[in-house]
Amino acid sequence: MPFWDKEMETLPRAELEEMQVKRLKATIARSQRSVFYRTRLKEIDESRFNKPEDVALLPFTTKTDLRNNYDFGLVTVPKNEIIRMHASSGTTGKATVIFHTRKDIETWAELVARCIVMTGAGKGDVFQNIISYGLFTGGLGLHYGAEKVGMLTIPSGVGNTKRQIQLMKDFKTTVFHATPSYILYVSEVMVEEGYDPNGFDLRIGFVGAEPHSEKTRQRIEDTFDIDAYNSYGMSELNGPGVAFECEEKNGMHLWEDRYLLEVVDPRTGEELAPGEEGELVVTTLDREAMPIIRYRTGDLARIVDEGERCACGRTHVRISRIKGRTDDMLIVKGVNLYPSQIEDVLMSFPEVAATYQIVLKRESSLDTLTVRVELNPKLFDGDLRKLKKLEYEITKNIQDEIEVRPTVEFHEPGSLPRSEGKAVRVIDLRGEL
Amino acid sequence: MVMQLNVFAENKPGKLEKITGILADANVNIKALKISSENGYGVFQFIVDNPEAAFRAFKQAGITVSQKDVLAVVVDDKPGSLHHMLGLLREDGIDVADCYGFVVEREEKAIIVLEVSNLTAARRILERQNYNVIGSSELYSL
Repeated sequence: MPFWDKEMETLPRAELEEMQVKRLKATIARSQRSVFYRTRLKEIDESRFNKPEDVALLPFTTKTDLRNNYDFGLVTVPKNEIIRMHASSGTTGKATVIFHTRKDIETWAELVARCIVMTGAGKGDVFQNIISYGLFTGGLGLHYGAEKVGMLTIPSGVGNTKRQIQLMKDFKTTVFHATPSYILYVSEVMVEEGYDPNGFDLRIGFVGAEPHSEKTRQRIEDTFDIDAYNSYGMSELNGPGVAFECEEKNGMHLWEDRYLLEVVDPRTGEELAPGEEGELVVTTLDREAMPIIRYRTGDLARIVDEGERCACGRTHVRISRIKGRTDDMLIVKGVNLYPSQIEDVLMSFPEVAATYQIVLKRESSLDTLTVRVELNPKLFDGDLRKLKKLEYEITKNIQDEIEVRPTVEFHEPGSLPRSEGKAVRVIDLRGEL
Repeated sequence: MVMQLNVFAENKPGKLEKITGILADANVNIKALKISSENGYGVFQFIVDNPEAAFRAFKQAGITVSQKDVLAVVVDDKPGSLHHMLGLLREDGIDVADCYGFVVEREEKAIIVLEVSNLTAARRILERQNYNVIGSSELYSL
């Protein structure tokens, strides 16, 4: 079982928690150097923080707080100590900007290195980083970690799919990093170009930046004949490297020496019982330029291993797949549902391809839910009755899962829009009531 | 036995024209066409003079297409002839899943395309009754 930083990754819980408390105190003290936290955390008595759970005594920080304090409102160091800026990929409102000192960048790369080595990848691998570089953290985040580990790193970015395939072929790429939607699109182009997607040298894939289901992971693994590992992060918390799967593939280890995790009820903000699904709330520990306290990530997940050690030997807590975002939740005919539930059903049918769309409309004040799917050309046998049966089965299985009856539409392969970054899966045309 | 091409298509204006354009460009002649459609999609079934070329052209154009073996039977172009043939198949327990036809010589002969539960058995039954079950080369040279 390979480790990048075995001592820290397997630190006994008691020591880890002790470290968290110490770093939490230091974070509170440091954060008060920023314009924002100086007011927000006025009259906080650090001596009251004796265990990690005491973080709940502090107020939350939200994305709105970050936006309102654009640009340097949360920064705790002189500007000339900052060496990097990133911005969130949020598509609405003002960007959320994040700053890093040299030490922050170094720490981030260390965390990503742990993640990479945890999957069995490392020096000797050829790593194709098929994800956006630039303000988005996915590209540079993995890039620095990969170089630290010593992989031959190809910063291919996203797009120009034929060139991606050419690079994979010519340089015998063994490990890639991509969003699930884009890498599945790459596999389609491979087939169009006459390649067999599992005929390359690929052995490991890092898949992240979009919530995706276990079925989607299996599909990626089967398509390329690789092991695919789920990656979790967000720019506010550095980017990738917050949590990652180990070879057990049973939850993502969240690096608790650098992040203090809580799971709360997204409506009330109250802490949930261990194992319950809720919103992840994270405090950065020991980040210099821009500490963030109790950040409402908007990501929904649960802790999978309360009090139970992972077979890999790491002591850091594991979180489940991200089920969706608090703002992804759809209310259709009064029923709460997440796009990932529909994706799960779709991916259990090999007859449908990986790209889909969920379209919501309102017809004479009634919500309608349409699921557009593409047929998998390899499994089309020309029988209209089989298609009707398939339509019926998909409809029924989705209805069983979400309690809303969808209309399932079949589309021609390749006809639904593709995205190179984060996939747009939901089109809500309902407007205001 | 002859090869039928089944094409999946969304129900959209101009869709059939796009598909027939691919065949025209590949210099493939359509012998028969049947369209079955559901709410938003359908399947076009083609009998053409050069199924291999048509299949390749469809694939190249990114069309979802599959090949299917069907029976092509010559019948007289007169009242009751299809009825008589179907009766023979029913007597021997052959289920007809799909059936359509086209006239090749007015008031002389027509060709019936059949998709059945047991292709080999159906062929044997019909040939025993002196039906002409034609193969690709005969059909395509019509």
